[in-house]
Amino acid sequence: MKKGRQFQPTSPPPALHRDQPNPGPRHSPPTSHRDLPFEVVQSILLKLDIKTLLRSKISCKSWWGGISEAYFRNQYLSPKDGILTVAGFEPDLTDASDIVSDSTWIMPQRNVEWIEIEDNTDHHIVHDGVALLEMDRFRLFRSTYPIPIHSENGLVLFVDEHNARHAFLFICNPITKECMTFPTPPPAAPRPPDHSIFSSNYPNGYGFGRNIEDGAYRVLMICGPQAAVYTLGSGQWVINTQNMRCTLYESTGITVGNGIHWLIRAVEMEDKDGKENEFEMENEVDTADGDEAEAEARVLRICRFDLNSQTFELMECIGVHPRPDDGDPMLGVLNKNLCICFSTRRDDAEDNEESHLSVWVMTESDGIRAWRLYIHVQGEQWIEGSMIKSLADGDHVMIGSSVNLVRGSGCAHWTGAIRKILVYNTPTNSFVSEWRLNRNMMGGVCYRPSLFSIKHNFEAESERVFHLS
Amino acid sequence: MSTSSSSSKKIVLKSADNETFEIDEIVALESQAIKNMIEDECADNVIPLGNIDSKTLSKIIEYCKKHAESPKKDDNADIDEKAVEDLKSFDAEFAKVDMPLIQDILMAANFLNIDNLIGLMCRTIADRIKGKTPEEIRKILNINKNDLLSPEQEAKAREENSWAFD
Repeated sequence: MKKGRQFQPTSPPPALHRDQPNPGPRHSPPTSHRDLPFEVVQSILLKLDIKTLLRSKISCKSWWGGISEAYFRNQYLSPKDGILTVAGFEPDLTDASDIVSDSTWIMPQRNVEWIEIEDNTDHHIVHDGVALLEMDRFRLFRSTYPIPIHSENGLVLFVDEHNARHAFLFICNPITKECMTFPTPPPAAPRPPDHSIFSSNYPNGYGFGRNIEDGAYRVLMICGPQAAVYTLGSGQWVINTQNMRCTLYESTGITVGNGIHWLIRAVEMEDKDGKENEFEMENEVDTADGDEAEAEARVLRICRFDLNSQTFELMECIGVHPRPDDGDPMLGVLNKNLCICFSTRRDDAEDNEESHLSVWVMTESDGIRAWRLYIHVQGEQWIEGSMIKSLADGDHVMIGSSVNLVRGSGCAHWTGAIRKILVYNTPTNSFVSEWRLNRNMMGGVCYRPSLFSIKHNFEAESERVFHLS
Repeated sequence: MSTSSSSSKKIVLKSADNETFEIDEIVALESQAIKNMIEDECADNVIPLGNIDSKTLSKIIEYCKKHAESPKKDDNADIDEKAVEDLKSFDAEFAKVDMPLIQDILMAANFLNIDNLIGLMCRTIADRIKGKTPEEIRKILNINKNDLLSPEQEAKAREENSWAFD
C-alpha cells in the first residue's frame, strides 16, 4: 500500500510515546527516559553488569517492568563473568564463643560467593568475593557441604556427598534465589561380586552441561557401576544403558564442548547384552610395591559423556604416569579446550627435590585429538590444582593450592592446603596467588550471572523449585 | 526502482520545527527506514520527520555522513585499521553529549532504524549508569517522581539481593 508523503516506516513500530496518552509538541519539556520504547530499554539493560542491572531495576517502574519481563529474563547474561565458590570462615579456635557448650562444632559460616573478574585485553582484575547467598540462613543447607560442580547460563549444580547416604544435589540460580532439588534416582543395580574394583573409597561422578544442539540442560550422576541422566524439563532420572564401570579420580566432571569429562583410573564397559567390549580393566598399581615400571604401565583414560547422543566414550589421554609421590592428575579447561594438570616431584641433577607442574591441552581437528604440553613450571613451590578459565590478557586461572616444598618431608598433599585462586602469568611462566582471604574455598566454577528462571522454563520441575527467601 | 544511489542525488529531511536539511542520498540510506521508503518509492524529495527536532536531526545527519563515508566491513575483508580506529574515536566524541540529547538521538535512531547508532547510544547510557546507586541512576535518567516504585516493592528487591546495594 502506498503511504503517500507521510513518513511511516514499517519497522520498528513508531511507538514513540507509549507512556504518554496525549503527546504534546516534541521539543518542549526535557525528555524523560519513559519515552524509550520497550525493546530499546531492553537492549540497554542487556549491556549492564548484574550489579548495575539490579540497581537499575529499582530505579523506576518502566525498567522494573523491562527486567521482570520473561523474555528479558531468559535473554540476560551478565557481560562480566567470574568464579563462583562456596567459601566459609573456619571457626576461630582461640575464641571459646565459637565452640558450643556440648562441644560439637559450629559449622563455619558459609556463603555462595561470586568473585568477579574484570577481563581486559591488556590486564585483568580479580575482585574480592561477594556473598550472593548466605547459606546458613536456610534450613536446607544446614549440615551440608555443597560443592559447585559446573554452571550453565547462571544455573549452578551443587553436590554434597559428605553427610547423607545419598548424595544431595541441587541446582540454584543465586541471583533469582531459585533452588531446585532432584527426585531420588532409581537404586543402583546390585554390583556383581567379581567387580570388587569398584570400591566405595572412590568418588562418584557428577556433571552438568547444556547440549549445544538443542539447549537441553543435563545433570549426570555416576554412582558405582551405574550412570543416570536427568534432563531439565523431563522430571525424571534415566538410567544410562551403557553400563559404564569406571573408577574415577575425582567426582567433578569437566564440561568442555559438548561433553562432560572425568579422568579415570580403570574402566570396564559392557554393552546391553553383557558382552564385554574392547576395553579391559586396567590393573591397579599396588603402590606398596613402588615398582616404577609398573607405575609407568598405568595408562590414564578419560571418560566422556556426550551431551547430545547421551552416550559414553573412552578417550586416550597423554602418557601421564603418576608415581606414589605425585599429585593426582586433574582435568580442567584452558582456552576452552580440555586440559590435564599434573604435579610431580622429581630430583634435579644435584639430587635436590623439585616440583613440576605440567598442563597438557587437548585439541581436536577433523575428529583427530592431539595433546600438547602447554605449561611447564618447575621450582620449589608445589602447585596443584585445575585450570578453569583463560583470560583475555593471555593469563589462565587455576583453582588450587600452592605450598613451599620442604626438603626431605613427605608429599605435600593438596587437600591439606587452602584452596585459592592462582593465576598463571604467561610472559613470566609463573603463578601468582590472586584471592585467598581467610576462607575455606570449596571448589570453584566459572560463573556468569543470569536471571534465568527454572520454574518459568520447566513445568515438570516447577514443584521441585523453591525460593530462598 | 530507484535504488541506485548515484552520489549526486539529494534527499531533503524536514524536522519537527520545519528546518530542512539537504543531504546526499547515500547518507540517508544509513537509515534502514528511509532506505525502505526509497525502495518502495514512497519517498518524495522532502521527507517530513514530525517527531525529530532540528538539534537532534543535525546530530543524526553528522553521524550518518561519517559512517556513509567510511569503508564498510563487507566491502573489503581487510579494511584499513586506521579507518576503524578513526570511526571508533568519532563515535566516542559523538557520544559526549548530555543525557536528554542522547535519549532524543536514541529515540530518533530507533524511529529511523539506524542500527549502529542505536547500539552506540545504548552503550553510552549503559556506561553512564555503570556502578551507580539507584538514586544516581534516577538522576542521570531524569526519572519522574511518579515513575518510582512503591517503598515496599523497593525494600523487598533490596533485601533479596542486598549484596548489590552495598
